[in-house]
Amino acid sequence: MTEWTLWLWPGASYALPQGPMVFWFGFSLLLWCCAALYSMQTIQSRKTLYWISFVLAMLGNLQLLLAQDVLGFYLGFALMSLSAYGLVIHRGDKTARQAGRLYLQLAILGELLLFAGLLLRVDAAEGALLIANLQTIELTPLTLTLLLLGLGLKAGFFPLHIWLPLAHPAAPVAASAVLSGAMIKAGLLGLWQFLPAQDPLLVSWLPGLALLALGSALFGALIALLHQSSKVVLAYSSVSQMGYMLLALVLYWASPPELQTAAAWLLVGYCCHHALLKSALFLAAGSVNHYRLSTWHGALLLWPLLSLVALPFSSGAMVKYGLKQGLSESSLPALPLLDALLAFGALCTALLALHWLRLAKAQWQLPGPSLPGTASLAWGILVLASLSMPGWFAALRPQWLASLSFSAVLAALWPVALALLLHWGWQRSGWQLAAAWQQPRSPALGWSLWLKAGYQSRSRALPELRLPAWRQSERWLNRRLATESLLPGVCALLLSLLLLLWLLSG
Amino acid sequence: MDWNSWLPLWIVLSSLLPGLLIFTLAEDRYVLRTSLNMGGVLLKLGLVGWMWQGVKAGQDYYFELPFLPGAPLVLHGDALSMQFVLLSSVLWCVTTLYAIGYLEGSPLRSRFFGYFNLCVSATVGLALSGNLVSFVLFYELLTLATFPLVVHRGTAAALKAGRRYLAYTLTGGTVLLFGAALLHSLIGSPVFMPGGYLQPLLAEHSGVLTLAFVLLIAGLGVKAALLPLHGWLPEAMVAPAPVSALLHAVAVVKAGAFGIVRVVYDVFGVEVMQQLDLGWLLVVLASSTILYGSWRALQQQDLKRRLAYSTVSQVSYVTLGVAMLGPVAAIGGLVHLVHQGVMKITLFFCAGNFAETLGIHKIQELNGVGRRMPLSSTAFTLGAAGMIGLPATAGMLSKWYLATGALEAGYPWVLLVLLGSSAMNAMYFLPLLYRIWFLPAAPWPQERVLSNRFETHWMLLLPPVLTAALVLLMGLLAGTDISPLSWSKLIVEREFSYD
Repeated sequence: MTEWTLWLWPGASYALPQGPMVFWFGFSLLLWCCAALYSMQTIQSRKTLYWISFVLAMLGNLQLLLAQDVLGFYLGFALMSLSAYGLVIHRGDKTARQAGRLYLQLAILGELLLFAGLLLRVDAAEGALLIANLQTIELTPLTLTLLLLGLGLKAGFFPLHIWLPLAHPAAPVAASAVLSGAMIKAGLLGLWQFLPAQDPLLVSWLPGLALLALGSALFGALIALLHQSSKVVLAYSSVSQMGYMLLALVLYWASPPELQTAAAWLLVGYCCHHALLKSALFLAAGSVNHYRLSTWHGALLLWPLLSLVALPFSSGAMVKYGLKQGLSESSLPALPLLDALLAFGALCTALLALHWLRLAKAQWQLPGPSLPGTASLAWGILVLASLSMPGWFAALRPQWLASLSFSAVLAALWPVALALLLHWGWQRSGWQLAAAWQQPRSPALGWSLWLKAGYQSRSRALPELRLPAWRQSERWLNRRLATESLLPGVCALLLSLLLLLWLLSG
Repeated sequence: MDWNSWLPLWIVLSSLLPGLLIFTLAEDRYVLRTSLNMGGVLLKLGLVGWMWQGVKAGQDYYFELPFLPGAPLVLHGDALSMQFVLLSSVLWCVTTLYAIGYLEGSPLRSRFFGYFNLCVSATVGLALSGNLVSFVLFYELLTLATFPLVVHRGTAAALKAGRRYLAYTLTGGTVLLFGAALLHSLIGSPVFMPGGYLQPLLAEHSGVLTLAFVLLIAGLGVKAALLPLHGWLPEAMVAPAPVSALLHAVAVVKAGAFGIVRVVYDVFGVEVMQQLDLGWLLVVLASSTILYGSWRALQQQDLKRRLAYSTVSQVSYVTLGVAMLGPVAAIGGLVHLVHQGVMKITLFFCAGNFAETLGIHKIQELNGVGRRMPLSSTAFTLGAAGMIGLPATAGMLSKWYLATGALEAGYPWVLLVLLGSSAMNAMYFLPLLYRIWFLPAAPWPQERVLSNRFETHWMLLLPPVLTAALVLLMGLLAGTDISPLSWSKLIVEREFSYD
């Protein structure tokens, strides 16, 4: 392995990505490039703030992917999290500021928990700073909790997602694309790298984590149906999809050593699949909301959705099939109703996709400027990458082929068909949710305000001050003393002092 | 005459002589005064650099002068003193530049710079002191030399703060003197040595040793602003900005913290400390100071007051690291001695720039400063990030070593203290950064045009930019040989490897 140890902080070490990490690095880089391309002509205000935050967050993200040591990862992670604050509040209105505040508070909290977790791990490893050295050290309940919370706050699965549905919609779309596509994945990457598979404690927690992941998958998709803003729906869809990715990670941890490579490829495949499609969808949402589009943009808008609901031939079908197959073969204690839950999840996802499509249609072709060419290009590249993923992601080719078998196609299609039916029925009946259920307000904003009030208490003002009268006489005395005639005298004194010192020290 | 033995004395004199000369200068001798100032500071920097080279190579610098019966005045350059001497001379260099820019055109400059130079001589002397008696001597001199700087403005508030400062520090000095005299009566005043020199007394006089320790720490704790004794520090922020910068970063609080390091490692020594079971007392004291200072800083609305309470909290990191008596924690504490100095001096420089250029004193007046003074604001941001302990800055490394050391030395709860303090640091610094960078600018309270080319006078701008760069470099390049971290490791190696 190509690895460099540099004279930076203690233990600093970098390596070129290898194996599945090549793809992880690749899709992150692609996402950042496309987001930059999209931003070039769509960001019109507060450009300096936007670009400085953007570049710093990008550096942080790429740095944490390359770092091989704990401090390097932590550095990249913190740089990315904190710089993204500038992206979240870029719009500058009240919602954005509130979202940004919550984001920053939780980012700092996550930072501290991660710091404590990493510290305890390194201490257990007797000061070894390379991530690879931590793999043989057993976890304790405390470190496992700290790492799960610290990194989970970034990964954004339920119940640590509270900042995500507020922050992602508040940011400009290109920033949301990288937030949802690349940055939250960093939390997952951290979990993957810092928690050793086969660790007895971790293995005993796996069923709980699997339940959490499934819960997150269903919760995100269901809550999304209650919201009427296309970007909020996408953000909740990210919560839901992070649930699936956590499930893939649980699968990796549960696999016996000989199957671990395959599980790792599946995890990276899922992340790659979601990163490409979700960033394309965010760009689509922004483009539909603010610009007039050509007809062919409709194709760009539709394809990621088809991939999201895992229609045959898409990358979605490939990874979903891989996940299902992996779960059925894994050594996890059999979860009751697993198949039913996964099918229900697919139904919810399909409903979410239809819901989002309806919202997008309402915005379609409203009057506005036409979409700039660079933005179309960035969006097109992402859709193309997502579309062709089964072609170039060779490690999951068998899963893709298997997902084309008759039974698999059937299993993939019936939730979608049912969702179509339900959606059509819903539209026909004109039934509305009760007002109390629509657009539920997150309680997290209240907590954030409460915290802010805590650290912005005020103390009494200081009284005004006056100059005393005797200051005049002091100035006069000083003028009298500060005359040139003193100089020779003091010089003589100093010289004699030196002489005395020299004599005494003999 | 042996040149090596005279070097410590020359280092002290290189600022003492220009200082005494400056007193005699008339107000309008700007060029001569500035050349004396800068010349002395640069000469000192050169001498210190030379000595640093020598100490690194294992050279011994020892200067002795008869002073009291049985207690000579000793100046001794060892690894630990070099840490403090280097810190003070480098920061003094930038502060001199800053002070020249800051005080331009104001009255009583000769008096100011005279005492300013006496102050650095006392600090360096204190750092180089080779035994307890010389240490106490320079410690008192430092008190006397800083008082005129604190009250320099002569306002009622300054005089009040000055009286308070004197009351606290002179009492502290007396207590320290008692402690030192007590030890002197038992064993004399031998030269500081790694592992301490009190081992032979342990069996018979453990009670007296404990008493002496409490006296010494109480005396030093006044300057180091340990919890019940910190009252003077937030008041003393009425001093001019360069003085505050020095008080908080190098001269006074650091003298106290450095004294604690000396007493713990070189007078008592780790073994005696462990046998007398004194470490935990200091750990608890330092931890409560850390939390209390951060908590009070949260409540302040005046920029400099907030920074002052932040100092109360941050300086105790040094005490904490030393008191835990483990080598890794010691690295954390010693490296924070430098890191905190550089970070805090940056913050005070920037606060001074905001006040001088735009008349900003209150936190709510900071809105939108980032666009008007981008360089100072960037420097402020870096300093604040360091204080919070964000990665890539120097502060993060101190925090990391302190926390690792706490686990190693068997104080796992200290981790909570560090995390809590970091969280509070974030709470009181991030809203400032938010105001600086993200809020629209309001009309400034009192704007002055100090430069046509830069955002403020170049002499005010250069120092914070340099120190902010240092904050980043000390964090990023901590693995190199010349970083404070490597030097702290060297000190710990020498302090813990005695037999």
